[in-house]
Amino acid sequence: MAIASGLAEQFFVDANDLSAATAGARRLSSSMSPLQTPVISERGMRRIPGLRDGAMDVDSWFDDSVIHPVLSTLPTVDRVATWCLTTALGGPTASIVGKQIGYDPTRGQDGSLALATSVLGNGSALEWGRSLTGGGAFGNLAVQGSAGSLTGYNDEAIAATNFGLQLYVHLLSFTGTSITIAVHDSNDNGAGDAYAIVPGATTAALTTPGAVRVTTSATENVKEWLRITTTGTFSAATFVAAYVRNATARWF
Amino acid sequence: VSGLTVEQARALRDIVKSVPNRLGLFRNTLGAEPKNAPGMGITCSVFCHAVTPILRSSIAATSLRVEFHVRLQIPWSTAPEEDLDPVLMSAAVAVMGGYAAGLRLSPAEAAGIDVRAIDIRGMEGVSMAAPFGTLDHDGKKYRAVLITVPILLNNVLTEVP
Repeated sequence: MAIASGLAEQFFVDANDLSAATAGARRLSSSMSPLQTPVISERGMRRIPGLRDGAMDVDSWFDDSVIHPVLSTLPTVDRVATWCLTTALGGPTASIVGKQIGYDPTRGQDGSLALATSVLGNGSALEWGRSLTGGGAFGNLAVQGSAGSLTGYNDEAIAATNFGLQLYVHLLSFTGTSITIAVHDSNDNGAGDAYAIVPGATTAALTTPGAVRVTTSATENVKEWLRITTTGTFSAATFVAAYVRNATARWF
Repeated sequence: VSGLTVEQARALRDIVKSVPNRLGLFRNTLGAEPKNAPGMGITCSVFCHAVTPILRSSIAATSLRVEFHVRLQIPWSTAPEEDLDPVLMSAAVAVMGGYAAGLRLSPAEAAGIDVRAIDIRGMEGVSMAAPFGTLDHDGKKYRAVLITVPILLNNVLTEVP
């Protein structure tokens, strides 16, 4: 892909699509504070990995139907937030689990009303992944009327990895008994090697809209092709899913 | 909302027109720029001036600024000449006040038009300015005031890469 713009992005918080009233992102940060451990045998400062952290600072426009009911609640429990940089299948995403800090309005003299909100990571950093639900008529939103599989995505950067993956799922709306959203993998898009579940890469049976982050074993083999497969009994489900493939041993 | 249908555009124009119409100050309120020279009294006409995408959009769709022009014109030959501008000024402020009193053009919602606000102060361009001037219209001269009515519409252009 060539240089692209930031047009046509999407932003999800828990079970909500906030794209229509989100103005932009000021910071999508995945940081690490190294620990300084100087030793007498080296002339340069030595640093070893320290705490990882993540932050997502987002500006929105005041919207009493889209933004306000969601962000004004300022919950003390964790938020799951996903920023999709494109609406394409396999498009880059930034996801974070953390605490929402602030819902601070700024009223400009010209009459505009903007709000600043942050999500600071809790227990894990902000993670860059790829969307497994993009490319449809609703961007990154997958709309299903019954259980089934979505289009597979070939992460061409790496053939297969042995370090597991993390899965972020936002279930936006749901009608039915339950839905289980899982990642299946294959070497060749199911041509010779049938898609099979990546062990551990599945949500629980979800019965209400919400969002989760799922991690597999850190040594799980993840094949080249990935797709979302849902199971359960339902008549309508709208969700967003993004995965983070660990290219090297997971460390967080 | 994605796009603007003819019906919606017409509804929007009608709503914009209804504000000066309701004031009862004008001999006639037209929904288009008049071709022929209007007669005595103040004639009000409402017509579109420009449609511009705006910066203060959302991340998934671009919002639009739709500028209407509301023109008030009165024949220059009306006596007393000294009273033309005060009368026009008062009428122009009444029109602007009418828009301020219905900032979000609430009837537009029924037509499926998502109006953020009338951009009175100029969040996205010129404010609801009303410059005065003289107008040569179909061979007749008028004193006129051209009120810009900028309307911000949310998320009209859905973006798809």
